[in-house]
Order: sequence, then C-alpha cells, then structure tokens
Amino acid sequence: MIDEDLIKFFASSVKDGYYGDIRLSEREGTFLSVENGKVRRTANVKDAGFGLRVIKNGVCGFVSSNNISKKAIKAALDAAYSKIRVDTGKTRGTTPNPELNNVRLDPKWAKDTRSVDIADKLRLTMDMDRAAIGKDTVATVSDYRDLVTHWLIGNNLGAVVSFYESHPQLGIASFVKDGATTHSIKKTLSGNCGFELFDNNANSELGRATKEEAEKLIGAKAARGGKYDVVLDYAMTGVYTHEAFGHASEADAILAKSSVLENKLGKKVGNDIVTIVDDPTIKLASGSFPFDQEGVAAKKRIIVDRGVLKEYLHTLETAETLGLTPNGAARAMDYASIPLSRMSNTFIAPGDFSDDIYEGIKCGISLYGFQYGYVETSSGKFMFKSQYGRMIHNGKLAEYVRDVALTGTTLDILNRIDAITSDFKLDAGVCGKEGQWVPVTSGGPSIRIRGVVVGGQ
Amino acid sequence: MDSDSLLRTIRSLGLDADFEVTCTSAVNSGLKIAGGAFNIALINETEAVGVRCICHGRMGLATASLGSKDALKIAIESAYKLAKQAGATDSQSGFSKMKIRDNQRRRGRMGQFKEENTIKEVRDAVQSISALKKVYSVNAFLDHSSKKVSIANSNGVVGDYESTTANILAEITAKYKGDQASGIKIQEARDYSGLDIPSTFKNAADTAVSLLGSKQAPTFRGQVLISPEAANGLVGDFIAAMSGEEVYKHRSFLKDKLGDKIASELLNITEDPSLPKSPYSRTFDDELIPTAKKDLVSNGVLKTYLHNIYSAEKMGVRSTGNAFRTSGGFVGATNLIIRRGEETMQDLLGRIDEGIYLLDTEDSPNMSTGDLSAMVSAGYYIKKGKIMYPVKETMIGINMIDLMRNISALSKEVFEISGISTPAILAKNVKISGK
Repeated sequence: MIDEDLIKFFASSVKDGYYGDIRLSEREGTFLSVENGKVRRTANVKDAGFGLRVIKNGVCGFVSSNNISKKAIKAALDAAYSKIRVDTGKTRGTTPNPELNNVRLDPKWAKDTRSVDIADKLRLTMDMDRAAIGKDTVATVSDYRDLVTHWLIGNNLGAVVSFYESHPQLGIASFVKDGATTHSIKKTLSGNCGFELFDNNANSELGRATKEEAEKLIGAKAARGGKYDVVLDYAMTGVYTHEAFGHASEADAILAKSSVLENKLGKKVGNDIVTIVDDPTIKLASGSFPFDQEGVAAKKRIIVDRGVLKEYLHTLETAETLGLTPNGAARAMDYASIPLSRMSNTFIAPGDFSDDIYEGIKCGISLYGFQYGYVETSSGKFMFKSQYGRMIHNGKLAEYVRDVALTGTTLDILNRIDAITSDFKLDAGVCGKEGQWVPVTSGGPSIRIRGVVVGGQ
Repeated sequence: MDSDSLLRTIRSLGLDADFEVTCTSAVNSGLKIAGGAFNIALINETEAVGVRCICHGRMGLATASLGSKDALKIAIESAYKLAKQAGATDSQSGFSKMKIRDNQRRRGRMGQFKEENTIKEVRDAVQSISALKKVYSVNAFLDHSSKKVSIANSNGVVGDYESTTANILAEITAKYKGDQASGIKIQEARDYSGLDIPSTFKNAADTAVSLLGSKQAPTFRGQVLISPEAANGLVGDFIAAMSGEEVYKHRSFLKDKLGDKIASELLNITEDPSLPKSPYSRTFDDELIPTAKKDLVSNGVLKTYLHNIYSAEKMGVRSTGNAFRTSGGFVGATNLIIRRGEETMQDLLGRIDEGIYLLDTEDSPNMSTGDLSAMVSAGYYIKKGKIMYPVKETMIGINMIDLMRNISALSKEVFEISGISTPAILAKNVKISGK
C-alpha cells in the first residue's frame, strides 16, 4: 500500500522555497492479555497512513491522514500551505538542512512475529502467567504484544529511507495479599527484534522473578518521608538519568527556552565520575532505530562527558536554529505525530567503584525497579518512583519498604552522585512527551546519591 | 459511516457470531507556540474501526485504521478469526440489548467561529505576556478536536454521537537572577469561543513569577490545601479505583469498601452524563448501555462501583453504563461533579496553621495500596494562614483513603476539565517531606 512512488509524487509537488518531508507507515500487531490464568483479551491491530510537513522560515505546517493516495497527499499539502500562511506574529526564521540518505533496509530479525502462530503467542503468555502465581498471589496480569512497522521517509531534496521496526513485548504484574493490603510488582521484557527475544524460557523466568519479588514485599510498610542517602539499582539509575537529565537535554526544550540546560554546553553540570550517553545504535534494544523520523542516521550521543555537558538531542530544526550538527534524535510515535527531540537508550556509563556501596550510610534507602517518573524541564524539578526499597541501617540492607519516591532538581542532582559501580544493565519502557509515547530503554550501573528527599508517610 | 450502515454490514456477512462495531472519525487541528515563536500548525484526520466478536463464548478484538472502505470488513473478519482461534474465555457473554433513548449531538461552533480569530487572540496574548517583567519564555498549544462515533451490535442496537472540544494550554517560564520557574494553565471548552485565552496566559504568567525563589519545605505533618486543578487529577485516580473489574480482581484499594464510609462527610461525588454544557455528555456508553445520573460517594459513603458489561456479569449486578473503549475496554465516568464548599480559597488558606498549598502534581497513587507519594511540582509553604515561599524538592505522602477521610473543607471555586468539576480540598494530617 505504501511505496516510493508516493514519495516521488510528494517531492515533485512541494513548492519552490519550501522544505518538505513525508513519512508513510504500515503497522500490524497483536495484543494478548491473560489474567489469573484466563485469557482476558486477544486483539489484532492494523493501520496505515502518512504525515507530511512543509517548512518555511521556521514555521511548519503538518497534516496527517490515513487515506493513502496521491489525491490525499496533494490535498494535505494544500492544507499545510494554508495553515502556515495564517498571520501568527513572530517566527523563528530558519529552514531545516537535511542529511540526504538514500537507504533501504529489509527486515532482519530471526523470527518475524507476524509469522508466529497466535496459539504460540498465547502459550508463551500463559506459561509466564503460571510462573507468576504463588501461594500468596491474589491476581496476575500477563500481557503479550507485538508491533511491526514499515517506515518510508523522504523529502523534496531527494532523500529516501525505508526500514522496519519490530517491538515484541511481555509484561507481567503479580499481586500478593498482605493482610488488608495488596502489594504488586511489574516487569517487562521487550526489544527492537523478533520473537527470538523469548527464547530460552525468558517468559517463565520473567514470571518467576516477578512472583519472587512480590512475595518479598509481604510485611513491607510505606517508607517514612525525609532526607536520605540512597543507592539506586540499574533500573532506577536509568529512570533517574532519563528524567533528571535526559529530558532537559532535548533540544526542542532548549529552543522553547524551557530547559535549565540552556546555555550550559561545555559547562560543568555534575561530578567528574558522571558520563551520560544516549545511544540509538545498541543492537536489539527497544529504543534503537537505524534512522530517525527525519531520515537522519542514528548516532551515539555523549550528553555529559565526565561531568561536562557536551551535546543536546536534535531534530533538524533545532540543529539548524542553534547552529549545531543534527544527531538523529527526531522521533515520532506514529505517522500522525510530529517528530520531536527524544531520547532512545539512555544510561550512565559504568564507573569503577568496587567497595561496599552501602558502607558509611547510617540511615538510607536502596531502591529497586521503577514505576514511573516525570520532570518539568524549565525548573528542573523531577520525581521518580521505585517499585520498592530496602532500608539501610549502619551500612547494612534491612527491612523492605514499598512505593518509595525521590525528588530533586536537574542542576543539583549530578553533583550528589559519589559512587558508580562497574556493572551495567538496561531496562525497557516507554517515554511520553506531548502526548506521544515511544519505546525507550534506560539503565546503567548502581549509583549512590547523597542527601535526597524521599517521599513517604 | 453511520450506525445503520454498520449494522447492515454486520448482517450482510452472515457470520455465525455476535458483533459489536464502533467507527470513529476524528479531525484534530492545532497550533504550537515555542519560545514565543509560532512553530507548528497541524491537522490530523483519521477514521478507525473497532470490532468485538463473540463466537461460542470466546471474544476477539480487532482494530483497523486504513482509510479505505475495506477497513470495516478486514476488522470484522480479523476479529472473527481471532475469536475462533484464540478468543478470550474470560469475557462477557454478549452485547447490549437495551434500547437507546436518543442519539446525541454535542457539537461546538467550529463552523461559525473563525479559527483565525482565536489564533489572533493567541498571538496577542503571546506578545503581551512576553513583554512582562521576569517572563522569559512563552510556550502554548491550541487545539480543536471533533469526532463522530457510530456503534452497532448484532442485537440491532445502534447509536451515533458527535462532539467537539477545544483546549488552550499556556506554559510560561519566569527567570530572575539565575532562578527559573514555570506556570502551566489549561482551559477546555466545547469550541474556541468558550476559551478565555488572555486570562489563561495571564494566570500561567502570574503563577510562574510567584514560584521564583523556591526553597525546600521542612519535614513535618500538617495540612495540605490541594488546588482545584491538582484535585482534578487526584479525583480521577480515585474514580479509577472504583472500576468494577479492578475491584473484582483484587487490584483496587477500594475493594470490599462498598457501603463503607471511605471519606469525610463533606465529600459528595455525582456522575451526571446529561450535563448540557459538557462536551462529554452522552446518553449511552461505549457498549450501547444507557447512561444515568448517580451518586458515587454520598456524605463520604461509597455508593457504587463503576461497571461495564463484563464486570457487572462477574459481580452479579447490572452494568452502570460506564464502559469506555478508548483504553481497551475498561470503565470510566462521564461528567463528575464534586460538590463544592461554601468557603473561598482565601478562607481555606487562612485556616492552615502549617502546611502546603499544592498547585500542581502529576503523581498518581498506587492503585492496589492507595499509597500516594506526590512531588509538589508547584506549591507554597504556608504558616499561620500566610504564603511564606514557593517550594521545591518537597513531597507529600498519605494513603488515598486517609486523604479523603481527612478532608476538613472544600472551596467555593471549582475547576473543570475532562468532564470533572472539582473544588479545592483542604486535608489535615499529611506527611510533608523536605529538608
């Protein structure tokens, strides 16, 4: 249904003096949900459409439709021109300067999820659900989903890229009874790959690990709020990096003058031991892609190098306006969404701390697994929440606590990190911005942060 | 495609199964201002079909958004095949057989109210606010959505409705002597003519400037005045915990609480799907079950859970007409009114000995325990009824049921968005964590 002929038609239809690009996609996916051992939902999804932009002097007209035809593209172009003719006052005055790639990539995963029988997908999900049920379990929710997307992206200067993404995912939540309270643990396994992600009983392992962690929470009390020294596991390190720092480095926030990292390039923003990386080229990782949504090749970005801010995450527009180099960070949720500056796989680089990370902490909290987080980039205030924690008393791990949340500010927090271990792991999730949700991973080693506000009761 | 033609298509295929088909056509147009400059104008048009099929007690779902006439047939056949091969066994037994009173149209006046006039208002507001002292950056989104929804099922029940909404969101950043803070305000109406754009920008700017110079609050136990905007989100979370399916499956902190006093006597929550001015009003839910006005919480007592056909069957009751298909077949409420109090916000602030005035938080409680740990995204430290300073790196913590039981007053002023009308809530005995 989508083909390069449509891109050629679009490119030849864009008026002189305008930059124009078009993104076409076709998607196909499955969703299965098993709850308490029973199949609760099975669903198929299929969609296709295009989104096109014309840009002149910093003003963009964007139109999307799921009616794929030359006639619809022409009508959308006319609507886009008319939109940017409206008298709107001040504009920014730049036009993107694209990277002219011409590449077609075929799907290359080992097991295409579209060719896997629905019964196998269901069996996988049922087995995971079964593994998550223990003697104290009162409920389970086990989800399987896959989505294969074919992207075709081109512009009026001659660039065309074609590539596929495949995002299979298993998610599991296990609920255990603890008197009048119910505790829960959630885990996810996903990647940009094929059904081979679930080889070697990865599904049952995920179910079992979720059950075991949920059972550990029996007897856990709500954390007591206050200021603590904290140790974060890889998952919490990841979400901390993503929320506390990553969003503020997205260059559309710099352009909007709503990031505390504006005018901080080349300046010290954290301790020497801290290096932060965003890398969409990590093989098979959920946040990876070969080209961004403006057809720019994906590149590894060193955002913070030994405490110094080195790079923002750019779209073509932000790079051109700020006089910097595009680095392939434009992402869009789907064809109907405008590309924004986004993270991909974001992490703190491993350090060399090999001593006991809890030693010297009189009263602290160690935090494990993330629930969610968010940041206000203009003030730098951020918050993120773990699935559970363990108190640290006199350098030793002690009782479990539930629902531990941290808060802080972007320009303060990297200076409080004083230990980074050498281990490393990534955790998959999704990131939301301006109503668009994209797959990401985040992670790193374990880190220790001094004097952080922890919420509780 | 209207509901009658959906019904004809279902019947013409002659498949040995029951179907429910929903067709949604939507047009969304918007405008983005970034850093004080006009940045993006957009239009999104989509038509999507959602099909649920029950075949020999198993349910399959399929959605298709393909922009072609074939989409409906593709989705019906896909749902049928799925139901037969691997349909859900834990599902409802059938679709609605209840007659719909009347179809409903809740259209705005998009055709009569020129978009250019609204854009001019936004442009003027951006210019005037940008000129204010300490204002550093102005960002905004203007958005208008219209949609037409048609639903039909194999029992011959059909329904159609149309609706429009318009939103303006202003995010203003203030900067002074190296300190930076932002204020966000949003307003919703049925169309552009219902938006008060100048005051939305002005309120956002005033809030941003008032949040400059923030400090950590102390750690203490005290009162929290939750603004109508912040209360709106928390009430939404409270309603989510009333979902019959979440309760039935032990995943809600409101399990086993039906008929119990779960809140202060001051708390009264009513659902009224027939409010004439709301863009969300509707006479039937997403499963073609008639909606009805009802008390959810009355003088602090939980009066009902919210059901779709599935949870109603599981719990042996009738559907309450609260099915929402947008998030995959769950439940929600159509227009909520939290009864307002008689005191002004200023009166309530004056009642605080030591506490926090919470303007905004994006946090939600843990739905199984009810525990809430929320960052004060925007707020002030209050001492003896006076605002002392704006706060940062400060959190509030309390269980949602304790929060509702500890309500000591509700304000006269209310905020409305997403069909939820909330006053400010004054609650006592909340843990505040700061320095």
